[in-house]
Amino acid sequence: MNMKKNIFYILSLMMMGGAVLTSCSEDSLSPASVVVTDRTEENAFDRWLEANYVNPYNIDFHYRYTDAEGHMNYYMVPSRIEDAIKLAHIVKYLCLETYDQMVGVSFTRGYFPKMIYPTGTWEFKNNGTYILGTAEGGKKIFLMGTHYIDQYTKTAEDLNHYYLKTIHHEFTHILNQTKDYSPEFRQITTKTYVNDAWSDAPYNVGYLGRGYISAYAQDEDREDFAEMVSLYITNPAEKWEEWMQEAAQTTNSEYDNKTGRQLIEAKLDIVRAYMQEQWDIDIDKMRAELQKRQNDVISGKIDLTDLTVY
Amino acid sequence: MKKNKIFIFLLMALPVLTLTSCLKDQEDTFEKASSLRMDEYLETARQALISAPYGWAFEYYPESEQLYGGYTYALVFDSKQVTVYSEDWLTAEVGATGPETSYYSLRSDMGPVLSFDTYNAQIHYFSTPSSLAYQGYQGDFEFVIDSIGADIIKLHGKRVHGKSDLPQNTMYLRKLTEPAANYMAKVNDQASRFFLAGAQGSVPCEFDIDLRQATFNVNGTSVNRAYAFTDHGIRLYSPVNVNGVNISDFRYDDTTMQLTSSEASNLTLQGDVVDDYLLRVLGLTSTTLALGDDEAVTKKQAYHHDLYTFTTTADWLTIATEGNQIVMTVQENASGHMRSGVLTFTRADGRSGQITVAQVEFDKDIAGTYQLKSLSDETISYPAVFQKNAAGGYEFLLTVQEQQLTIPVVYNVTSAQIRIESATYWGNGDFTLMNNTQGNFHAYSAFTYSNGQYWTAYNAGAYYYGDIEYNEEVDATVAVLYGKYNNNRYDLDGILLTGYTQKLCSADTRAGYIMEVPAPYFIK
Repeated sequence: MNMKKNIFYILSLMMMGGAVLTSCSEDSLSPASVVVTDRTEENAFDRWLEANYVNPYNIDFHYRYTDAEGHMNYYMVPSRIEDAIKLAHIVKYLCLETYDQMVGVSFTRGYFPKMIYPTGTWEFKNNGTYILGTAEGGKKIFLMGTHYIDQYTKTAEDLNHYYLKTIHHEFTHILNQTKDYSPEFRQITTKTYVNDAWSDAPYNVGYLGRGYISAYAQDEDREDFAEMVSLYITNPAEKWEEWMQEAAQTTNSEYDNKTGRQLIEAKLDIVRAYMQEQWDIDIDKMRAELQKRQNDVISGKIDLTDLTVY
Repeated sequence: MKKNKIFIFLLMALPVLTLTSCLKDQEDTFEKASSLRMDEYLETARQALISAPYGWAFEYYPESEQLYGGYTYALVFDSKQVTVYSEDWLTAEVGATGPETSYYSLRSDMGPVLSFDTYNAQIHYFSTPSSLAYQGYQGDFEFVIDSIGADIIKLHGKRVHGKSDLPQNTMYLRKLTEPAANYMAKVNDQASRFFLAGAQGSVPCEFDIDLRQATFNVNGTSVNRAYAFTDHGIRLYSPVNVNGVNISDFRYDDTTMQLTSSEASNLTLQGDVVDDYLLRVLGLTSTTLALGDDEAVTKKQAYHHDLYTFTTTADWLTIATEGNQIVMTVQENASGHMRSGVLTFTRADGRSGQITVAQVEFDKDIAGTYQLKSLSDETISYPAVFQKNAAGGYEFLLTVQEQQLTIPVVYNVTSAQIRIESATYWGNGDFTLMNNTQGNFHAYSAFTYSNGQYWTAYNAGAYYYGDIEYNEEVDATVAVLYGKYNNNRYDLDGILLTGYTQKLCSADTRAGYIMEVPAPYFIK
């Protein structure tokens, strides 16, 4: 009885509150928007990016310095606009359009990270070492060192090491996150991944003989996979064969005395099958295409400064 | 029961609380939404920046405590871009010959922010990091706008004031009343004349002209301020209170070396030049100067040369004055060998300094076969032939494990100084590494520091220097190598030649060390 009374009280009081609340809505919505976007006047590069990055791919090539996009524990400076223009052409010609040609533009549009953020210098650490680039969760590729672009676009090795390998490597992670590769990949050299110790002796040398294509590939199987793809497609066939011959000289007792070459090639078979079956990418065709395109850039056949919008 | 009562009271309170929100006469504190007000403020800032026909003088202070001093820019804005004029030394330092144009934006961030958001070597000079100075000079290039006046805009650095116990690093844009180039010419003129060690008067002052710091003695209390050059003298980072008057701006009269306060007209300080004044005006960083065998005449502006008398130890080496200039003349060296003389300059009070001038020819006196040796380990010795290369540069041909490598060398003809850089390519060959790995490796230089404990790894930009001198004791031409690393924090103490599996200097490709030479020197 008591309980019921209380409930009645409570209900009536709540209704009172409700009645009072609804009785004072005289404000009308202001017609003026309070959302203001920063006004920066468009320049020729902005128009070129609109036509070449935003419209076809919905990618923001974010060349204006924005500290929140970077890492606040490093001192960084913006890109020179001339250098950002060159990098935008290189990424378009060597990455985006290569994937367009191999798989189709909807693939590139669907999977390529939505922001590329270039800055002028590397990320210098207080011990004198530095970081070349990072990728964050498949959404953004942070490319550093545009100041050095003239210096590092003269040879394919430099072009790959300083700018492109990072992109292909990180893009491979995105593909893997979308469709996983066969667990058999990890099994091939599963006993000898060394995590962070990959850059220290004795792991920093002789990795080919142990069945890893790079020192970093020894970190873990996901990095191994991304290193396999990015190094395979960005290097000429002769270079790969050179590595394989070196790898063939060492046998590994952990893996039934297989040579480094046999181990790497077993992994490559899985990589090749994965890229073909899951993504319809023939990595040999991809490599041939990238070689041709790299040569076009190094030989100066591609005008990296042209901002004409067609 | 008690519980229920509390419930009921609470619920009764509810409508009372809601009732209070229904006042009809409530007004917004501001007429417009904050984002709209911000937008208007930024537009006001943009108009102010653009509307100054000659642009703005910008006295810029990197580092949260202004430890590097102040530097003057002139900035001319249009609707998209900014043209940056810097002091002559900075323009030359970044390899430019004049002002440089880049983009800027005004945006809402930590307040209204002026950001120089594409690179401009001049405005970003103090912000640019490197492997040797990973924070650059801790200079800001994004600024929060504090206030906008008719002729002055107050800003503070967005990033670098960061230490919470420090005040903001405040800087000012001051509207120019003459073309930016004219204003900067006057600033440069002031900077080229200002060589004061200190100034005497009612508020005695000492200057550090390298780091642009002034330390005043205000009635027994020491007060330090960074300063920057203006068109008429110097301005302090912030005012100093002298007997109730805030002083910050000084006119400098170079003919009398007097500084006069603009705020307290009775405050005049009598300055005096630094002891190494003549070295500085001659542009020398050391007291030795190497010249070739040809006749050479060096003329430099030196407004205060009349403070000195000169003596020389060689008849072929003389110094004279011509108006505001000093003229150093070196006659042709026909003696057939390297020779040197000493110039001594003396003040009226007896203070003096010296410059040693040498005449030396590369082909005759410097080039030839040296040995790369170690001061701490006599067993180390590698043959190294010093020569000019086909490209006009200089190099040592170094033989290590019967393989020939090429050390690229920067040779400074004016000081007979060699310079070798870290992470440079010396060539490739078949080597046995110190870890006993054998193979064909690409050799890149690296240096050690902290008693050989650390190395410069894959970083270019660490330099070993050597002054090539004739050492009478050992009767040989010698260059002992020396150098600093990481903002002059460490002394370099050895060469560590490193082998890489590819022609790429990186952690991925490093194989091991080819050769280590602690405390290195070259001897001919």
